[in-house]
Amino acid sequence: MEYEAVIGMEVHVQLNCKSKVFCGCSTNFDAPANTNVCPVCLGMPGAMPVLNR
Amino acid sequence: MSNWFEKSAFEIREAVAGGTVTAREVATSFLDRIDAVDEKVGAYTQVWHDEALAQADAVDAKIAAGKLVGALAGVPISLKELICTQSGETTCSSKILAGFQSPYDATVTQKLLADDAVVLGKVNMDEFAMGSSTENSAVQKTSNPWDLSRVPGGSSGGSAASVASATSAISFGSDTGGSIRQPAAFCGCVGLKPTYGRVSRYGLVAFASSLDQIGPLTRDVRDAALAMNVISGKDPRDATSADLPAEDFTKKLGDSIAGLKIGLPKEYFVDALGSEVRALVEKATKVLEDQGAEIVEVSLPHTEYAVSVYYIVAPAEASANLARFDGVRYGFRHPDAKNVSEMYVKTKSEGFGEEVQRRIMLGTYVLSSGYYDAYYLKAQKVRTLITQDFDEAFKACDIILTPTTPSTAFTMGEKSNDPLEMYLNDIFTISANLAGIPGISLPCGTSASGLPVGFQLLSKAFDEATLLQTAHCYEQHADVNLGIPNL
Repeated sequence: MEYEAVIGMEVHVQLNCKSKVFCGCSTNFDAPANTNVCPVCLGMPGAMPVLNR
Repeated sequence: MSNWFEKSAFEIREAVAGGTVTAREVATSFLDRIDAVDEKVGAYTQVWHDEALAQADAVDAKIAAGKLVGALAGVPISLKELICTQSGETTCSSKILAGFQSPYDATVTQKLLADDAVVLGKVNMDEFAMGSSTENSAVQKTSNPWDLSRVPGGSSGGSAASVASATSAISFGSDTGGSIRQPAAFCGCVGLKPTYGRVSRYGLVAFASSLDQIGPLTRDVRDAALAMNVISGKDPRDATSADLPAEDFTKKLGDSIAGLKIGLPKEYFVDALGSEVRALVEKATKVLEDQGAEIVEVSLPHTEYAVSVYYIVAPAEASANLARFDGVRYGFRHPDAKNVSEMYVKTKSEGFGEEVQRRIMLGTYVLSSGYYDAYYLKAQKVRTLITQDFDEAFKACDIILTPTTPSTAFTMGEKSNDPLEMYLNDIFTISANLAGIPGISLPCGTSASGLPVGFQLLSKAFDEATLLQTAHCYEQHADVNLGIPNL
């Protein structure tokens, strides 16, 4: 039997940037719970991602 | 005392800003009108009496203090159920979002409030904007104000019905394949779908992201231009919004159209077009010709594929956009599931209506491995050909004139069992969404049975100014005044 090898890699990297990749929320680690969030990173209806500059 | 609900937005704004009337008086006139007739029409899903009056009072206070007021000062408007508002609910007329309160205002909502419009409430639609009759709403039925046994069109049926029955001066809807223009034609009002990218989609609950666009439904062309001045522009929160200098869309209203070239695409004047509609569209063409426009024949050869392409592209995008409604973070969650996968299945099966489920399945199928090349990729290629058809046609003309719909408003239930028959209602409007160009539907008379008929004008991308100029010229010289239906 012939097999075709399909290899995928999932890479988890913490980006060295001040805000999240698709919105302006801070990536500050020590913030209180539920503060560094907005409609975009919560995936609320109607919200749209904009790539971090 | 005049009935303010009969006035155009332009007249209301002039009167409010000029101190002839207070914003509260105008808002009260419209709210009374809603209370008097909307039980029959069913356009509104939410009426915000107290909040509307508070907004009106704030406008009056600004005027009393001698402050400048916005371009829509005191103009009572309504918003389609899929435009996010912090006030009230944003349900998309779906059970899956019943009771959902958006934590933020859409960019369009913010702009309207910043320009002192008074929001009367939210209006009905086909669930998630999928449909052409508003019969797919999970909330309620909406009737055509000209004949209550007929549909108002869709998906922005509540918007069109509210403008036609004079329960809002302007209503803001969305158009993915004709959802502003088709109901505008059925209800006898003006409906403008702007160029893709002209108006921010931030806060518009997405159906098909490459096709959706917010636009106004109004009583006349000037009001549509006025509304565009307020809602258009670059938004940093919508990466697809176009970065163009601010434009005054009223600036060309009243200019002569002498020498303007208007193209009639031969593929649109086909057998499917009813004879009454055809006669009125031809009459409209004559009005523009009498004003000095040059009428030329053009060809859009790939028109016959538009509906097929749309029903691959739009469901594909919808299946991705609607994946977020899983019962986890917001909206309806099925109360009685034993594990998480059963919760997903039960939530979606009961939360979404039949048409929405049909399109999610269609979209998932055409995107699936093995079918992607045959359907989605092929459809994208044909979409490019349709766009090129328009590029070619606009070398020979400035504006394209077509019917908006093949027929007048149909009766409730007439097409709800035959999805394909329903889809064909958008045969003349879908191409503009695929090509991203703007289109406007205008009333051009009534059928023998008293139902409004509309025709459509299309322009090059970002040439709404010429589109509105042509539409306004028609409106000024055509003897078409439908008035307000008896309700």
